[in-house]
Amino acid sequence: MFGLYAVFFDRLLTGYSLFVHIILASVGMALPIIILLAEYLGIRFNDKQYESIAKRLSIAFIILFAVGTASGTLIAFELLLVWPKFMALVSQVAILPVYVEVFAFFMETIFLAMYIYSWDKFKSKMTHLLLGIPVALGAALSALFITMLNAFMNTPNGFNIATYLKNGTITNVMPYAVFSTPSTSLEASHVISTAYFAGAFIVIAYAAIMLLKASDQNKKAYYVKILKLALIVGIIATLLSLVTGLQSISSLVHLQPEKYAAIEGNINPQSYAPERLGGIPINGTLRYYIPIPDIQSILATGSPSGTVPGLSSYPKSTWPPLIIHLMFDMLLGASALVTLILALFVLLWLLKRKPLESKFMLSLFILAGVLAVFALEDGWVMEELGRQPWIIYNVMLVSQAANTTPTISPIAVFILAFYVVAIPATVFVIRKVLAKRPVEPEQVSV
Amino acid sequence: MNELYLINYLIFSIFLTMFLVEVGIAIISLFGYEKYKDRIKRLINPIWEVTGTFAIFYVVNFEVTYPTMLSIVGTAYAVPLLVAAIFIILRNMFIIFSEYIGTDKSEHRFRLIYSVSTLIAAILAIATLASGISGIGISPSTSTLTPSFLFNPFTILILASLVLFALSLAESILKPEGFQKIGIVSEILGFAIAYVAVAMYLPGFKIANQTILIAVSTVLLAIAVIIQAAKYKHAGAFNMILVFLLINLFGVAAYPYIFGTTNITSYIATSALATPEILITLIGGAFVAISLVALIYINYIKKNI
Repeated sequence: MFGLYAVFFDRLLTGYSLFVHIILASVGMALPIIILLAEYLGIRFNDKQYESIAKRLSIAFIILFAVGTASGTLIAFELLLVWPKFMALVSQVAILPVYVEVFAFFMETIFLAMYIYSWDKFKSKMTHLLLGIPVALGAALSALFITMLNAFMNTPNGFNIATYLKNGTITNVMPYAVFSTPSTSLEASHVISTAYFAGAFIVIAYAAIMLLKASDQNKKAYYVKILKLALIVGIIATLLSLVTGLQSISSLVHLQPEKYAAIEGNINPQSYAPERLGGIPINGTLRYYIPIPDIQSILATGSPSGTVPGLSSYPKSTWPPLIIHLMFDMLLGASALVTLILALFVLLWLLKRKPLESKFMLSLFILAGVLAVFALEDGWVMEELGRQPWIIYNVMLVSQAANTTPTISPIAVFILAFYVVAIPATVFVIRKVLAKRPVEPEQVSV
Repeated sequence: MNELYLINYLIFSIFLTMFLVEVGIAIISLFGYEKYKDRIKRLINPIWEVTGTFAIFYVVNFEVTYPTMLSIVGTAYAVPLLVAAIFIILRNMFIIFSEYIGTDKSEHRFRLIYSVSTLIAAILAIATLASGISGIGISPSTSTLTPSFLFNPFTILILASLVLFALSLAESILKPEGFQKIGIVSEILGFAIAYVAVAMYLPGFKIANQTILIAVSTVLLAIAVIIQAAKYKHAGAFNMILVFLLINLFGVAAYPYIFGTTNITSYIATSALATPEILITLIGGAFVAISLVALIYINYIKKNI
C-alpha cells in the first residue's frame, strides 16, 4: 500500500520540478536570442537604447539562469534518486545524450560568465556579441539532447528489448542509436520550437505590461523595442510550433497508437474518423463531444477512409487516461488563440494601424503570454500522461522504476513547498533588479 | 587502473577542488565578509556556476560509469542528496540575489545565507561520499542507510580534513591579512587527518599504497611550503593544483574499493557505452578546458582586450 503512495509522491515531485523547470528553461532559451538581437542592433545602428536593453535583459537572464540551473541540478539528482531503476537501465543503454548535454551546459555556463562580466573589456563590441552566441547555442543544444532522452522513453531502441523483457538482461547495445530514435527528430524540433514560443511570449507579455504602465515617450520607445524583438522570435517560433505539432500528432498513429487514440478520444479503431471536440470521459468512453466528420482520418492518414487506432485494440491496463483528450483540445484552443492574436497584430501592422500603440492589442499580448505558457505546460503534461502507465514505452512501468523508500515522501513535500516559495522570490528579485535600473533618459535612441 | 574509474575520479577531483575553494571562502565570509567583499566577489561571481556545472558533470559521469550502482546509491542516499540539492538551489539563489539586489545590509545577509547553504550542502555531500567509500551506515545489499552514515569517526575526520583544505585554499587565494601561516598549517594538518582516517577505517588501504601516498604528498607539501614562503603571486592557483593532486593521490591509494571492501570495478560499465564515453569525455573535456582558459584570461587576467 505504501508503495502506491511512494510512486504517487515520486510522480508528483518529478512532475512539479519539471513543471517549474520547463518555464525557466523556455525563457532561458528565448531570452539570449532577444538579448543578442538587441546587442547587434545597438552596435549596428549605434543605438544606446538597444545596448541598454541587452544589458538589462542579460541581468534578468542570469538570475533566471541561476535558479534554472539549480532546478536543473535538482532534476538531475531526482532522476537518479527518485527513479533509480529507470536510470540504471538508461545508463546502460541511452545515457549518451544526457552526457553530451553536460558539455552543452558547460558551453552555456562558461560563455555566460564571460559575456556577463566582460561588457566593456573589448575594443570591438562585436567580439563581446560573439561571446553570447555560444550561450544561446548551448541552451538550444541542452534542450535538444535532453529531449533525446524523452524520445527514447517514448520510442525506445538501441538494445534487445525482447531479451530484456524476458529475463532483464541488457544485450546488443547500440550506444549511438538513442540519438536517432523514431520519434527523436520530430519531438526535438517540436520541443525546441515550443520552448522558444513560450519563452518569447513571456517576454512579449512582460514588455506589453511595461508598455501599458509606461508614462513617458522614452520608456515607451524602450519597451516597444523589446516587444518588437520578442515578436520576431515569437512569430517564427509560433509557425514552427504549429507545423511540428501537427507532424508530431500524426506520427503517434504509428509510434504510440495508445497515446494517439487517447488524445483523439478513439475507443475503437475506425475509418472515416471524426475529429472530436470536447466531450466528457465516462466509464472509459468519451461522450457529449462535437464531431467534425472525417477530419481525423484525413489529418492522420491523408484519406477520409484511412483507419485510425483505437484503445480497444490494447489491454485496458495500458490505456492512458482519457483526460488527455480534453488537454489536447485545450492545447489546440490556446495555440489557436495565440495564433489569432498574432494574425490580428500582423494584419493591423500591414494596414499601418500602429498596433503597438493600441491598449487593446497590448492587453491581447498579455493574454497571449498566459496562453503560451499554458499551452507549453498542458502539452507537456498531455505528452507525459499519454505514455502512462509506462516510463519507457512497452519496456518499463512507472511503478517498476520508482524509489519506494518511505523517507521520499516527506522530502518530496518539502521540495514542493520550497519551490512554492523559491519561484515567487525569483520573480520578485527580477522585478526589483529591473526597477533598480530604471530606463534612463540618456538611453533614448540617437 | 580502470580508465573509466580514472576519468570519473578526475572529474570528481576537479569539482571537489573548485568546491573546496568555495567552501573555504564561505567559511571566511561567515566571519569577515565586509573586509574581503571585493576580492570575494571578483573571485567567486564569475566561477560559482562553473563549479555547479562540474557537480552535474560528475553526477552524469557517475551514472555512465557505474550503471549497476545506481539502484543502491539512488535508493540509499536519496534523502541526504535531495536535501543537499535543496541547499544547492539556495546557494545559487542567494549568491545571485546578493550580487544584484543587495543593499549593503541585505547583501551581507544574502551572502550569509549563501555561505551557510554552501556549507550544509558540502557537509551532506561529503558525508555521503565518505559513507560510500567506507561503507559505514550503508547496506549495499538492502540499499538502506542508517544515521551513522553521518555520525561516525571516518566521516567526521574526512569532514575536518576537507574543511582544513578549504581554509588553506581560501587563504592562498584571498590572502587575508594576518592569516598567512594558517593556510599551510591547515594544509599539512588536513592531509594528516585524511591519512589517519583512510589508514584506520579503510580496510582495503594497502601498506605499499600508504608509503607512496606519504612520500609523494610530503614532496607536494614541501613545494607548498616553499611557494608560501616565497609569497609567490600565483600561490592560490598553485595551491589549487596541489589540492587537486592530493585528492587524486587518495583516489589512487584507496582504489579499487567502494562500500569498504567491495571492488568498484564490479560496478563499472563494461557495456558498449564504455568507448563512446571515453571519446565524448576527451572531446568535451578538451572543449571545457579551452573554454575555461578563455574564461580565466578574459575575466581574471586581461583588463582590456
